Amino acid sequence: MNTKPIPEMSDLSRHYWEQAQREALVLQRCTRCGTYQFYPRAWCTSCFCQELEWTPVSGRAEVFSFSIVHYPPFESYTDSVPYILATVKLEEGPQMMCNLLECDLDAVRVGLPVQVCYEVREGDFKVPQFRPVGGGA
Amino acid sequence: MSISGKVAVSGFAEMQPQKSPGDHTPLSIAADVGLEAIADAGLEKAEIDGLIVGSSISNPGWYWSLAAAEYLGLKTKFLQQYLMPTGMLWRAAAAIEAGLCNNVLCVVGDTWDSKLLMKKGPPPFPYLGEEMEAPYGVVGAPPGYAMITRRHMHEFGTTAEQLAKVAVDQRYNACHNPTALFGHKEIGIEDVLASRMICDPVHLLEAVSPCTGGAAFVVTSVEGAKRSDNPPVVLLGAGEAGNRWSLAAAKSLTTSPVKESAEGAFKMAGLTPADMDFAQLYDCFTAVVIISLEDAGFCAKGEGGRFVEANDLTFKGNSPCNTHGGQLSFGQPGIGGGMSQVVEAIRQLMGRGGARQVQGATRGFVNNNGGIMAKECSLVLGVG
Repeated sequence: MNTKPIPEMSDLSRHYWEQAQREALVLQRCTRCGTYQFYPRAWCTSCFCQELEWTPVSGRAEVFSFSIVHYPPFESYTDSVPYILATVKLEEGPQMMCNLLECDLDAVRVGLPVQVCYEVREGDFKVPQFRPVGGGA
Repeated sequence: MSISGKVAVSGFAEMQPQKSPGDHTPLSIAADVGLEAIADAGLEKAEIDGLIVGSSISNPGWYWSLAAAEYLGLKTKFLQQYLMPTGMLWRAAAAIEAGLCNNVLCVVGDTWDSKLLMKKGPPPFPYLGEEMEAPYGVVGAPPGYAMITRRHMHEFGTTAEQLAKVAVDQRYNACHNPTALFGHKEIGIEDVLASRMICDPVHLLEAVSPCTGGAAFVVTSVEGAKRSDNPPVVLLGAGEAGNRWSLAAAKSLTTSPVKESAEGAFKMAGLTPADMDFAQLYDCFTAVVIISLEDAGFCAKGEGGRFVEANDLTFKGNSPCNTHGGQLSFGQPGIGGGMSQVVEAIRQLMGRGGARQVQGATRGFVNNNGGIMAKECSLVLGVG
């Protein structure tokens, strides 16, 4: 059983996580200035209006930076090391944290094209993750 | 109104860092070093009317500053809890200049339990990105700094050897500091690169070691500093900057708020990096030193790796940096590790550096870092 942490969702982010259960990646987008943002919040980070709407995005991204973690941050990760932690830049602009799955440790590099995928955790909870485009890498 | 040239540090004290807490508590340490610093400043405890106390990892209470005032038996007119010791110093200066108080004790004490990070969860550091970052195993500092390091290598060709050189020079300094936690054996670049990988590309010897310890200093008016036998260490400039929390939100991982904080400090002081006799730079990881050197203007952006390779960062060298060994070799007492950098700058400017004294040092730069290179506070200090 994958016992890695399940996020404690807030009312603001509930839709993001509910969509992830349907394997859809959604971001807030400002209907006034068009800015996409992540993580979910109550105000547009660009024009500070509150007219935000959830928008499905492509799930295409590239690796902005990464680390291969050899030291588990807490016990539920003990069996997972080494794992790849990455910040990816989504095609739509925002950056987010993830683990790169199905990726050789030797193949990861800054700029690597990646695609969203979903990791199943305890209670069938799906967490958005990324893997190299075309798989394997 | 500027606070430049108005206040001085007139006394300090520092506990020798140790790996385990022993009988110490954060407040017992704060009292030990606090009382010693007050005596070093030539003052009586009753004359201390301001207190800034560092947050404690092991006891993150809301009313920590009140607990500290009570424990130390201080009657304060200005009382604050604050993370960054560089920020404590200029806040103390501002409070004195504003007429709120006369003599401010700035103190940090903390204990460290190495098992803290290995709890099953929830993560010990709740933060804004918890929901969106903790599920990916980014808890604590090393993974974030590893991504900063990786990005610097990618953008500027910084090498593992250049990063390791920072740890090597600082270890040499620590070997001339009898209180350093890791000051018994010099290391070479090959030792750093052969040490265990924590979060690739960060090796064990490039990662800070949290420990138990603490330090304190007393800030008073330049006039009040004459009560002390120590040469007054005058605050010449201060600058602060910060604008994010989440690491994923950082538009750049390689340019830090040190750019703004250092610029502010140098501008207030009317001095430049070339005027500095040393730099004490927050160094939880080696890349932080390299990025801080660049952003503070000791070298151009992207040149930090080549700068540390070509220059001697030891106390005897042409670019003395982290002359106490840095937190990497001195130790990082709790969350207030940056206190060791402030205290080392004060010590050097008072001429109390002992075997590692930077000869003729009269001006120094100090930087503290918080979050994951998310907030920075810089100082320019001087004597004579």
